[in-house]
Amino acid sequence: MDFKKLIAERHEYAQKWKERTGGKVLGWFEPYFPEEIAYAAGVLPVRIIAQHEPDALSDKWIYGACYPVKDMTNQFLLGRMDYIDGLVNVEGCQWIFNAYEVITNNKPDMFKHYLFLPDYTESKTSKDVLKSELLVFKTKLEEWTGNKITDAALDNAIDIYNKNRTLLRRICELRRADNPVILGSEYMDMLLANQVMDKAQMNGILEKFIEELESREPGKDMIRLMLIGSETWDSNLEKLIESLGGNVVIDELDNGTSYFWDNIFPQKDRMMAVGLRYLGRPRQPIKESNWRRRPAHIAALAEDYHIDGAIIAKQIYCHPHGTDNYEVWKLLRERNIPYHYFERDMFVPNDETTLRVEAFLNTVRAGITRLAGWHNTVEI
Amino acid sequence: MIIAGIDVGVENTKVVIIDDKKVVGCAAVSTGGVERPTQIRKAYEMALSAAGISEKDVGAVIATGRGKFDVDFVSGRVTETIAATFAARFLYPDATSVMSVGADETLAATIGKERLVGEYVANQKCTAALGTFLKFLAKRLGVALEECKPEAKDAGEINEGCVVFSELDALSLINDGAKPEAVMASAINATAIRAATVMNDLTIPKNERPILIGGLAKNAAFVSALEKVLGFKFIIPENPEFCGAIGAAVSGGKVA
Amino acid sequence: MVKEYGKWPEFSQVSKEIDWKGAKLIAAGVDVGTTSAQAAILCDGKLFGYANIHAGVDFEKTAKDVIALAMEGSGMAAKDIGIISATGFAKKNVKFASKTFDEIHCHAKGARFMFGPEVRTVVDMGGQTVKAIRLFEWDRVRDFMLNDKCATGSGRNIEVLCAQLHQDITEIGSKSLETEKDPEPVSTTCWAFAGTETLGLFGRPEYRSEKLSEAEIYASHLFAIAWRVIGIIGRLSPLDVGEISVDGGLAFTGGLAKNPGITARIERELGVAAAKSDIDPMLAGAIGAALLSV
Repeated sequence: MDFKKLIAERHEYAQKWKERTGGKVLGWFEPYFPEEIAYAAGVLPVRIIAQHEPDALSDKWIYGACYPVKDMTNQFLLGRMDYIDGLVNVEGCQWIFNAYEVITNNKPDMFKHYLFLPDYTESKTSKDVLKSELLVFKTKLEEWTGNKITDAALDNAIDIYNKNRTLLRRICELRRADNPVILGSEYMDMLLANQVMDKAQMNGILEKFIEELESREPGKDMIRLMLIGSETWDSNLEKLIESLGGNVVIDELDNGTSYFWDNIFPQKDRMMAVGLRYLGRPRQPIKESNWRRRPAHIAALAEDYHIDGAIIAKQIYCHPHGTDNYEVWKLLRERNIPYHYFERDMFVPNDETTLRVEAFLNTVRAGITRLAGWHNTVEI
Repeated sequence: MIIAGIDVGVENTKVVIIDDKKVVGCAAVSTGGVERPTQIRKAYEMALSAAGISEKDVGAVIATGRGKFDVDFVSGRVTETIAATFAARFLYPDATSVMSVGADETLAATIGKERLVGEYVANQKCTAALGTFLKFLAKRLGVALEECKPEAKDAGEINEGCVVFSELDALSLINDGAKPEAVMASAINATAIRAATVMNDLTIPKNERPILIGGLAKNAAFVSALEKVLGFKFIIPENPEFCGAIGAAVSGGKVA
Repeated sequence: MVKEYGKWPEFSQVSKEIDWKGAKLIAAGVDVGTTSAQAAILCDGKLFGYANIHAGVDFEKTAKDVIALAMEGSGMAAKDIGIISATGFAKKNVKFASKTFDEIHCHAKGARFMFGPEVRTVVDMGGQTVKAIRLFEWDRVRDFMLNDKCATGSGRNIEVLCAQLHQDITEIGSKSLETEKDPEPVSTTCWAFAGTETLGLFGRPEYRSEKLSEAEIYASHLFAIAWRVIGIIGRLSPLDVGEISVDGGLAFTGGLAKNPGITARIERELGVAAAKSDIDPMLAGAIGAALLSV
């Protein structure tokens, strides 16, 4: 399955989708966005994907933010995203909020909505706060699209999204094998493609992909790594790791496995059901208030996926990630899991990142008995 | 009255002698870091002898530039923005905006009808030292900066947000087998994007072509890259690197 | 010829005591960095010849040149070398090398060779990157940290600063130590900011009125760099209790290791004396590469 092609053609795809259905396209940044509600209104939710090019236009508006945020702004200002009819910002990253404001102020005809999602997700009242926020969002969507969001439409959307998440999880479980049939880079490409596609259609693609995977030969024995850190917009880092003998078998990224880890458990109060799923999903650091849930989740993943080491890649200037350094480092040290922490830029892979990964894999490899005799183990 | 303008930059010190609205002598020397005071004196004396006059003929000495406080024999000092706008107004009486790109500082200003300086924007911290960056990178790559061709084929993108990252990106391209000239073209493009950020909604000219001064204005490759990013053309005076000194001299020490 | 204020002089030497013709195995290591390149030739594990030159843009030629210089005058030729291994930023361009190793492991190995087996923390400070390496008691890398992106180019930064100030790079460090008390450091966020700030200090009224001396300005610049390096060392997984205070447990390699204005400040802040060696610290990577290949 050529997921890279799906990502590359995402603009054309959304435009064709609009022509075909007459519906509207709604852009989102943060994986805390409840896509189900938008989908039930007949809207196509798509993730805004940053890419890798000089940002000539964003600099005078946004200064000092992370590179992807500047690039996303740049793409909008260049007019490449004019097919997107609306933007939603979910309470979270302040850089993204910055981009959201600059874009919507420059494109005043766009539908804009700021969805509040409590940072203190475990509070007793958070679920009620979120439910009322979701109801506001629902009403605004109905006004904007002219479509009534019926319970039947919501149930349908929840079904499609639950199925989507289940399929992604099924594929993820294949990575627990000793010699996984899928590499980390291909998996990340699949996730990124999934975030810009109509999920009903994507589910069909994923089902076919599972058939393909199940007939594949087991992969090579590689160093099993976990990737932790900021959201990503491409699979370049995974590719670089693979070229040096490592394989990302599990990630704890906001747009990685955290995007699909939990399903919605249906209940009559649909907004509550949706809200509970988003409050309960694996925490992004900014939504982590007591530092118990996220470390525990990372520890569980590390055990289940039998990792040999972890790479923590924080996007440079990313402000939510970095708040968790202390907890995550402590957790990995306590469990004797070797890790390497660094700040990545959009401009990877470069020689410096290559050195980091190469040296880290060499340190990890020296301690792995199953890989004894590996041709270039470095024993100093 | 004969007035001397001295522009002490991070890289070079430029001196201009103006007699009755005419440039009668000029000189430029390397600023030379810790030897700055001696170098300034040297440039001043060179300019005086070029003009064929002696120090006592000079009515006023006005300094500008990052090192303007190192000139101890002055009658006045003006900031770089004032110098740039005065120079633009002096050379082109109808000019309405000016941009200056030097070794360390990048700035843009509009020239008002009543007040000389309308709006002005100086570079953000990360956009400092564009000229220095290009000079040292060219030296590292063994390329003559003056000989870089406009619209030369580049070697791909390099970081345009930060000079420190840019240099590592540039060396990475060399490591991947790119030609030094092409990497230099990439660096010039990145520098142009960085420099263009001073042209914001306040300073961007509406109809007319702005004046471009400063050391980098001499570099055809940089100018063409900058014009491409901004989408308009500049008017570039002869010897743009001396414009700061000219502006200081014609300002006569006034600030508006 | 304009004086090169910002460059460490090139050097080379060949041992007179070692008879290379009698050696069983001659191994060469070459470390091609962004700014300079070094070569080390080892005869049966003993350092025989070494060289350091400024890096060009043709990295393979730079590597050839530096190896040739490391055996100059000894009668040794390239064909006499049993194995050549490469490390450094441009190692992939050293196509004639039979092995390549990452810089972390090379510096660790080289530092143990130069400074002895007590070394537990190696800090390599080069042209573009600062690497802090922690070793187990036995020969294995336990953890390492590279500078984050904003601290890229600390060596290069001093080079440019020295060139702009017309100040010799070999002296800036000792000059900076002529102060009684260190002034506040300049920006510790970014070397470009730090450079601009330091140049600006020379234009300040305090400097002109001699309240701020030249030595103090260098001190505040070098302290900023030392401060940043200390931060990188601090991120390594901690040593066992007591280990940090062991003198000789800390070793500096790379070009900045020759700048006492930086090393003395790091030693002072960490409260340890760094290990000493007769071998030039710039050679650690090249020596490590040669040792790892055999």
